[in-house]
Amino acid sequence: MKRASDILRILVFLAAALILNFPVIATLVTSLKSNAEIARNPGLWVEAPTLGNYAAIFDAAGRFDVWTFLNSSLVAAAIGTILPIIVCFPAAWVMARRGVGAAILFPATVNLRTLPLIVFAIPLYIMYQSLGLLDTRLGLGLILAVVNLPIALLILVNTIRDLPVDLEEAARMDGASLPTLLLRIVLPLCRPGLVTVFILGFITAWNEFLFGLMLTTRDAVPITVGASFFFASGGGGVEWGVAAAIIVIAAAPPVVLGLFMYRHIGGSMTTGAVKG
Amino acid sequence: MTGIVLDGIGKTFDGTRIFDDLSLSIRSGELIVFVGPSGCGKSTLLRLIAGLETATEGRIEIDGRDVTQSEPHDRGLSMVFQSYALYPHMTVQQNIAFALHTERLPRDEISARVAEAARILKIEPYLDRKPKALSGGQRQRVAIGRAIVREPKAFLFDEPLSNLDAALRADTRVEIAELHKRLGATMLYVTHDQVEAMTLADRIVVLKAGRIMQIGTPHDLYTAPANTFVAQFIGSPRMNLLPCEQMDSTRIRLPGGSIEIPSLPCRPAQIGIRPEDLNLVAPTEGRLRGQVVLTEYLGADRCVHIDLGEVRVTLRDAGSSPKIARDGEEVGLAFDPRRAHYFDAAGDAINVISVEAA
Repeated sequence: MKRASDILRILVFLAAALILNFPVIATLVTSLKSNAEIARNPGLWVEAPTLGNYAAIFDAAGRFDVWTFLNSSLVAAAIGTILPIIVCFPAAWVMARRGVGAAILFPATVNLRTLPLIVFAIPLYIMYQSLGLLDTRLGLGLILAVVNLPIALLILVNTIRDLPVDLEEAARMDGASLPTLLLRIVLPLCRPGLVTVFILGFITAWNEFLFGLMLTTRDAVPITVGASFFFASGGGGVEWGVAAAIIVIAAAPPVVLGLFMYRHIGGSMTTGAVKG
Repeated sequence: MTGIVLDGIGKTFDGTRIFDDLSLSIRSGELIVFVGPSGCGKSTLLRLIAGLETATEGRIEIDGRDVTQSEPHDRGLSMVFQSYALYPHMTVQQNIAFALHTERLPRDEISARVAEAARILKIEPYLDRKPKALSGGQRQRVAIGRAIVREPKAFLFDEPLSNLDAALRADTRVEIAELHKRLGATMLYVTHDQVEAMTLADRIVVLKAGRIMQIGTPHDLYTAPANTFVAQFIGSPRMNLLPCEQMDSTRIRLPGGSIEIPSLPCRPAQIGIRPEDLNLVAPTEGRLRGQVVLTEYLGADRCVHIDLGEVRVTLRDAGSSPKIARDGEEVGLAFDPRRAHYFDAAGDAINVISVEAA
């Protein structure tokens, strides 16, 4: 009796997992099929698995150099993730502890996130043109930093508010200067918040499409935009196998990052700091 | 070894007046305890001295130097927080050494001082652990270690024992008293627990709503409380307060009886009698008569609660007392009027030297 119910439960779980992950599985499976098989066999079973689609992608050169796309995405996403942390950490401390800007600047900054990003498009294009930032990884990274800034500030302000004030007062009694206090005491205690900001920010930055499409043309094209080039790379109709493979390649880095860093999200650094 | 002087301290917090013209002088090497009910301002007073809060008015001097506007670390004080406030990402060793690193002391001096502090507090086995791997008592020791390693001018303790269980609290209390003897340092200690205050203090400052009610040695406060607040705050069970009424020039009426006092300096409105100054006697013999409500047996002592009409009093005598007090029984209460405390209508003590027993 118990076995029967166990089996049933596993079947239900499997069905749910299959349905929820169907798009991912279908893409993964398609990327391993040859063009001939895709046309013949729409099912989830691969008859003759091949890495030919991947090989085709990595063999492509010039405008289709996937390494350049990946590199651009990595550099721009890194700038777009780390810069908001550097800017927001001291700002968040001042807002949380001194109340500076807590009334207007903090909510206003967080509300930036509610604006559709397209609002920035035209003025930004003109600004970038005059600054020479068009089609540069730095330029793409900077706007991704602006996209990530509100959520970084929100998470860091809340993380710092949750830290016991006693620890900072103890550090002041111990003679810590403001930089020492921030770097040696507050920063390590904010690690869970920093990791959360990093992961969410990196995923957002990596997956960003609009500004990549608008602000880059050749040298700094990110993988999301670059991937779209492959859809029509055959000249005629869409090459589904290559398209699926490039989607898998483009999606892999944030997925891997999320899997490795997930356990660092949340959780408290301050266990044992206060009380018994 | 430092004297600390507070002169005319005023503090307003979000529009609320917490202190008004508070002055206090703390002698070098003294262990002084700030005690009072919650919200009396005792922790705020400690934080003002520490520099974690800034006084709105007045001066704070440490060692004759005006530190009113100085940063906390410039005052040369160490503080032990109620929550311990250990840095959770650092080992015990790093926690204790942190202040010495910020002072940029040479490395070998830092390790020597940390080792000495660890030896004094017997925390050597835990030096490489993080705070979360320590028990409450061990964390408390690390917090004290972090304070003594700086060799401060004075130690500030903010309710350091309130997170420990009862047994550990009693042990740690003794250790803090020993530490004070050994270091001979000035210590300021905040607690709401009058037992801690009585056992530790050279002098006690009793605070109520931001005002100093009395300053004195534990003995002074116990034997000569300046007002009914101090009288009832110090001592456990607390002092019995009986409303009284002058009947004629020598007699005072109390609930449940009357007493005769030949030369009263002025009219007392209340009489205070410590529970241990009351004696159980036959109903016909005592100065007061009442009915036993409840007896609490504590081993060495017992507390007998007695109804005297509208007020209830507590009597404490030996647990082995042969006098049986059954619930509901009519009893007499005797006391020596010379050991009683007399208060006026405002609750201030009346000088009792001239009061003699009938």
